[in-house]
Amino acid sequence: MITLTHYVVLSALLFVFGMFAVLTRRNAIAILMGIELILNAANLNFAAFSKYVVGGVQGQMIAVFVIVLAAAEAAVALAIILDIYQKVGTISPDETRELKG
Amino acid sequence: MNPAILLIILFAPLAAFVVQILFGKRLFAPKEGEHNRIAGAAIPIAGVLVSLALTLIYVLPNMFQPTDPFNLPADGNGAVWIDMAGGMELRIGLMLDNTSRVLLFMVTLVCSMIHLFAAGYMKLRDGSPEPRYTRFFAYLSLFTFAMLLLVVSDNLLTLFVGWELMGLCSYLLIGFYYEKKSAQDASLKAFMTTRVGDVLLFVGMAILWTHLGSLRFADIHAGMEAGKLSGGALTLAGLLCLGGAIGKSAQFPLHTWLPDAMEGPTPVSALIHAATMVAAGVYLAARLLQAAVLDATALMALAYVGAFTAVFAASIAFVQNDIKRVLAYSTISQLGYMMLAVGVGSYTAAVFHMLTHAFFKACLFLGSGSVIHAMHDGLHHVHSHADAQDMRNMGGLRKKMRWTHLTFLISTLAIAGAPLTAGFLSKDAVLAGALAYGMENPGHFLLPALGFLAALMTAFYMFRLVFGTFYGEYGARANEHDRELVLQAEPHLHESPRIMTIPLIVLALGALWIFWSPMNPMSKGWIGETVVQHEVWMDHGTANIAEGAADSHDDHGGVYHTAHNIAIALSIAAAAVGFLFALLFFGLRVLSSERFARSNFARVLERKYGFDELYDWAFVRTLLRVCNGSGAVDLKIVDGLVNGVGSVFVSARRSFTWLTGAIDRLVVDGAVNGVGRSLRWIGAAFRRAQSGLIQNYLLVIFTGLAALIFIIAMGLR
Repeated sequence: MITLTHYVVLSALLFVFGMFAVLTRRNAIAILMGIELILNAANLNFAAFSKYVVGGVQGQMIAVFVIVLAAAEAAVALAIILDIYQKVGTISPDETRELKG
Repeated sequence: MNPAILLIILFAPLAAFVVQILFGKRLFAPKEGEHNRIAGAAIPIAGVLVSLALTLIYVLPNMFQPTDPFNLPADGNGAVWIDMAGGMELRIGLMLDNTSRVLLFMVTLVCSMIHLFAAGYMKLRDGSPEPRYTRFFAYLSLFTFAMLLLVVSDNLLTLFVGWELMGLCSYLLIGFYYEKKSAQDASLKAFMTTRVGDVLLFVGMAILWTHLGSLRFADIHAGMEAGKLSGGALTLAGLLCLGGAIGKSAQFPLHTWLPDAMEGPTPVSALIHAATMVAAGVYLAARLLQAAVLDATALMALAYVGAFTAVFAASIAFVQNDIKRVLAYSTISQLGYMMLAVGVGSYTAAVFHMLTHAFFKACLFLGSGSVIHAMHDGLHHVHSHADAQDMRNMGGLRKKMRWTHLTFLISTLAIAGAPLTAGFLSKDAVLAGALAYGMENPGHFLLPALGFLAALMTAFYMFRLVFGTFYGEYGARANEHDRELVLQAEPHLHESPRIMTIPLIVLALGALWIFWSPMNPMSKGWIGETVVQHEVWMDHGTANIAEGAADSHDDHGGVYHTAHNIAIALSIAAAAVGFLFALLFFGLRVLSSERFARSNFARVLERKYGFDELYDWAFVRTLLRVCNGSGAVDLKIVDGLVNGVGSVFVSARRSFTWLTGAIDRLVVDGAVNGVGRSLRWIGAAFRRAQSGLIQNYLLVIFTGLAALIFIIAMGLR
């Protein structure tokens, strides 16, 4: 029997993997993929809590919204990364630091 | 009589003035090439004719017998004009007693005639239409209103308003040709000189007001009867008020403005400086006498001023060649007569002489205007710049200008006091009054003596004028330089148009005895009967004169009768002698005046006894010197003081500035810079946190988030 706890644990694992990717990758596209993982961890939480705690479909609705948002975000972020590559010649976040204080 | 009628008589000219001054120019602006502009005078003429018509219908019939004064408001107490705190109020009203009626008749008639005459006279200036034609008539209307206001006022205050309005009109009209410097100067001179008198009058009014609490003639008289004002204050008040009268009537020593006032257009000279305005001074004196404001001293002073002026002005008229100036001096002289008459207490004679004088003097002035008009046209035709007013350029004009000559001659006879003229009757009354006074007070024999001397001189210089202008040979006495052109102008001379001659004829009729004589003044004539209606007031006046007042009124009358008979004989004799001399010197030229003309005395007369120079030196130059002196004081002392104070402040300011500058630098700047500097230090410290390494930021965020969750979880537990 799959309970809410399973979902929450899975979601937490997903979040940690995503976070790990975002913090350690030296490639902007990999960081973006990490962000996708974090977002999906959140989606999983929404859906799970909606089914087990609240009832109804609000959670799933929000998850759908987040998926759409994530798609839009990926499009914009990839365009920005492409632009940065053309300007600076690399997509490593460590080397694109002209705006530092 | 309906109150409305009096108001219409009074305000019709004012209404005409308002309409004319606001819309006149727009309504009657001449079209291109148009010369006939009489329409521009239509409204003022209509206004004054309304007044004249109502006066003839409602006032004239009541004029010939004593009538109770007509008051407006009807209760005779006047209306409150200004209500002051403490129970003081200024009450004003209109009053029509017999004196006012006589003057109302005179003013409206003479004003109407002069309006008509001026409509023709003022049409052209130097051959082109007069540009300020409508404005001229607006001023005439305003003047008419002012004079009417003065005449029907029952108090000194509105009388003073009319008085000053006339001064203003006089100024505007003398300076009517303000393009000419001489006209500007003359208008200023007239205004300033009469202003001296006006100020005196105002101070006199203030004294009356202080003591009596009212400026209405009736109240003043009642106050005098009650003895509220007496002694030195009364004398002072009387003398001050007479100062105003002397200024307005151009009596010595304030006479210098009147001859210069001839710079104005001739109808103005006729209206203001001969017939009406200058008579206002006499009217005021008569009113003051009626109200018993004048005591013996004031009357004595007035009588001597009048008698002296009569002879003094006549002597200057001997040598003048400008026909208007001769008439101006004759006006001063005749006004002197009237003042003399008031001074000796026979103010009926003064009013009578004022009335007849208005007619023949207006006629004389308009006649001279007619002559000047003709001469000016003629000389203009031949492009001569000879003086159109100099009688040496004239002569023999009787053939050219028959009506002008005839009316001028009648008026000259009247002013000279020839029998069968109005002037004979009135001058006789004046001289009889002076003589009676001289007989009662032998110490003052000089008054009648000067009076008769002036009569002789008047006849002399007036006939000199007539002979020089209308008889003899035309242009014979013009100077070499001008003679040729003056003689060429002769064919162009012509009689004036009818609008100018008809007023002359009307006024000349008034100068004949017909209108006046059946009512012989003083004894049983209407003037004597009507104007002396306030017999009590008269008594008061004469009692004052008689210094001790031992004689009764009957005695006075008896002396008067004797004096009258002597005066008739003497005045005819004086006029005849004057005429004879004029005939011998200037008519037949049997005697020559050459030697006299070259004498030093003639030169003194030509300089008018040097009064213009004296006043110029004493007042104008002194004033300038005082002004320059005070200017220097200003420059040196006051400016020095100001500059000194300034420099003290400048040095004070400098040290203060230094102090505040230091405070600024150390404290204020220090604070500001300190803030800036500390911010920079903080910024430098925190800048290191922004490394640009995005994953570092995220690490901080996640660590923080984890810490937050841990704390919350601990808290929930």
